[in-house]
Amino acid sequence: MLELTAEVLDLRAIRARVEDPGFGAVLVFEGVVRNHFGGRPVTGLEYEAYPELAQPVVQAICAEIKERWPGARVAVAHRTGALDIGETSMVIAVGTPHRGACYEASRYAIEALKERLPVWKKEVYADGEAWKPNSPV
Amino acid sequence: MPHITLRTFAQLREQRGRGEERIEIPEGATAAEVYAMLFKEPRVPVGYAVNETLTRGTTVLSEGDTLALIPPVGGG
Repeated sequence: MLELTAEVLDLRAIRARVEDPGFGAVLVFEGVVRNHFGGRPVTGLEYEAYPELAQPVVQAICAEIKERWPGARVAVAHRTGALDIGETSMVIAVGTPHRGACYEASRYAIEALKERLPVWKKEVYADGEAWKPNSPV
Repeated sequence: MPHITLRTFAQLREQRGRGEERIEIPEGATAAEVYAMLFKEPRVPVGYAVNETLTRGTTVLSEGDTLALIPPVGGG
């Protein structure tokens, strides 16, 4: 359900994991490396993961989604290591029988992963670097 | 005194100089006590995993346990 990799993410392969002939909707969400944070130019990012805990966290989030939106299928992939501006850092693919549930489940997935997935992001600037949490500490 | 494996990530890993190490802890020490022993203030709020399962800071550690300190996450 979760793929952690230092390689470029393969969107088609991740999408293929949620395909189903009974689905009328598939959404593929991409998180992308942005070139600024709070007005400060960012030159690149570095991601670090805790794989042994990331897997059960994703499994739990997928189970929550399947309970709220029955029949939904979810696949998640996240990059590790150094990334350049514009690269895809995360992909969430969701498939459902109808579009309404697809948008809702996709949004639920990204918010839950931002809060709970044990992955850390270091922003690299022209003149330094900093680990940046998703929620203010 | 029990020995445990300590796993750290992000800024905590950088402060320790490595992501995994074997350490000796006082008998009966909890996860939160080990964190406070090893890191000076100001400390970021952390989550705890013992043997790769999320748990509370009040969990008492035993010989051979793996304690992971989980700083605020930033994936996405």
